Amino acid sequence: MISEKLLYVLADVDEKWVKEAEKAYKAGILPAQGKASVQRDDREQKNGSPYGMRKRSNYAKYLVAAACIAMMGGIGWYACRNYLAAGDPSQQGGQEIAELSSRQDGQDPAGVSSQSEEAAEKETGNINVMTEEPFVEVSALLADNGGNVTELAMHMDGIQIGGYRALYENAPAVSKEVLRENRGASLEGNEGWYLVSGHRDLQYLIHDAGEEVNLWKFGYFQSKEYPYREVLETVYGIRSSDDILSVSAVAVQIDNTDAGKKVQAEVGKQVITDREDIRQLYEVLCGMTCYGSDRWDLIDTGAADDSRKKMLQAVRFSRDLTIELADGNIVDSLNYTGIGGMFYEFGGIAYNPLSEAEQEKIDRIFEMERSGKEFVDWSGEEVQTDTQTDVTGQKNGTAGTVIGTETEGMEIESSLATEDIPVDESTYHEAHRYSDEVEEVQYAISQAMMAGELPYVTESAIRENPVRVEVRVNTQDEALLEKLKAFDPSGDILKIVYSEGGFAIQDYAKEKYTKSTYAILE
Amino acid sequence: MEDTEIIKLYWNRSENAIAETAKKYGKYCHSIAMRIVRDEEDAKECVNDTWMRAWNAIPPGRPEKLAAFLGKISRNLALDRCKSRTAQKRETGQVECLCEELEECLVSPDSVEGQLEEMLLTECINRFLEVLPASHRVIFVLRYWHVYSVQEIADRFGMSKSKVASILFRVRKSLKKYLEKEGVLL
Repeated sequence: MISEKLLYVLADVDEKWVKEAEKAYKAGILPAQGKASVQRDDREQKNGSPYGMRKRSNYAKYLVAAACIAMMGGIGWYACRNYLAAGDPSQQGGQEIAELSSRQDGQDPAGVSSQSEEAAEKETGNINVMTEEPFVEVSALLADNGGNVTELAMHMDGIQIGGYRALYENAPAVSKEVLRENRGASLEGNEGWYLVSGHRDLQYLIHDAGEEVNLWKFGYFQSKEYPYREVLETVYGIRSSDDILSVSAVAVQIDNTDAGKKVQAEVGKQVITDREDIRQLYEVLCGMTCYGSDRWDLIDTGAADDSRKKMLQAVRFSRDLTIELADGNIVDSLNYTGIGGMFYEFGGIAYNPLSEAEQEKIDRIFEMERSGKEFVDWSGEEVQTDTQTDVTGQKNGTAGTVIGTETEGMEIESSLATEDIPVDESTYHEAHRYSDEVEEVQYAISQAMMAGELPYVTESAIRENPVRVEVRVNTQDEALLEKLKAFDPSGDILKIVYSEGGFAIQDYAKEKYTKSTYAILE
Repeated sequence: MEDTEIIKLYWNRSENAIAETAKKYGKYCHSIAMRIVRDEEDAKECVNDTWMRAWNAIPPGRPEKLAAFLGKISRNLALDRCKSRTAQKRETGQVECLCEELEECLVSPDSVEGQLEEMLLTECINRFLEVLPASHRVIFVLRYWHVYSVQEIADRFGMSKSKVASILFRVRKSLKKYLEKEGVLL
């Protein structure tokens, strides 16, 4: 077996990784950075110091603090300079922070572009020409180009941007040599922090600290709340809807069961290029307030509910957005939930719930058509097919046959129930929606069994016939059976199965009407 | 005693070599074996076999890093023992479990083993580990080199089990992509 060979080959991995892992395990702390940690650990070991993570984090703390102070000064100075030079405060929106990413008017976030370069950009409208840096797609710098960087990121670092402390997530990236080659302009006043080559946005930054070179992705501002417009302008460089080329939307992958995937496939991928739709979306985004990360308490995706129907509904009414920008960048952090009527990001980054009018716009743009207040009718032909293949429904011609026959405003519960439950003699009954009476009888008997009130009842379940509760007993004592029958005052539901030696079935309900009993030898 | 001196003892065919090795690395090798076989007796036997393998390998070998050399032997012996024990009991064991996970790194699990060049593969994996985020690398190595269970890793770092499992899943997928890109077809 090849995988076994791979397991043995792994024994030959570089010893430094083995040691690194061993040390981390002993210390109970995961390293925060890339490979340089190993070299540093080796050095610390030689010096007789223990595993150096704590020490390193102290060092990093001071470094970050120093970087923040320096950056604040730098940004302040730069903003003042441009403010005076521009002479038109309205263009700048009174935001120092906006200076950082204003590509359109040729100003450089890092303060590295010369005036002539700015002029060149104005003439050509091409940022690559202006900076004389090749434009590097960030995807080329990510270790796993197909992966979701936000999910992979585990460590955060912060820099000061204007009045906010911006937290960045460490993104798994290619080697430090490649990162170093693709550094763009430096962030003035922040030694070691660089834009990505050819970029003027602050979504991704490269931090070069000599031994360690890392790629960082913007997470959020560390503030109780802040306008999302700040992020759009400062970090992503989106200053108008014209900066957005298109928006792609797919269902969020929050349910990877077969049923969940099916819904995702049904939702498919929607690419929005209509300018009016983009303008409306941009306006809604600009008006949002962000409440920072880890605020799942403010996010209602509808997926928190355990029930399958709610989960699938949450998938159906969710959208994972990829915003393609005119400058070649991609913003892929936003999700939308039509259930809560709000945008959010993984990591629990919460935004305010949209107003009714806003939600209506967004739902229309994302084609979240609804019938009824909450549920959409999406049973259609597929469910009809399910119904046709539903053995129970055909066999019994009873409550089970209602599956998929309801249309407008129908809860999707029943159709969903048939989707991922195999048609099996022992389990298919679970696919039914039972009547309240049947469920009540079953529930009452189960409770009594658990309380030890029915020791002669060995089993109680709703089986092939969805309008009967089948109860297996090991007694024929009339008094005891009367006690059991009392759970079914209507006499329509209970079916008693005797299981002593050979067993007999007494369909209590049937008996009521036919006054006959029958026995089946096993 | 320094490693170079211990190796010198091996080269001189001095039986003290094993005693000194056991003194210095006995605990280390035992812990590696124990983690994999989870049985005191089996672990002890693995460690004894490790000394025997080392005795047979040096000379002609002259390992640069004795700890790594011995650790690797202990690990592989423990995996062997675990495998044979599982085969006898006819149940799914640790090795099978790891192999199943690692199958996700393979393009085709049915490839011919002979196609693999171990050296090339090792180099590739090392390069891959180089570019991984340190935390992911640590978790990967703890799982597949040190053979810690997902639960143990999660407990140790105060993470959820699913978080660790998800990191491992991503790393395995990334490794597969990397190997494909490097032309190492497994």
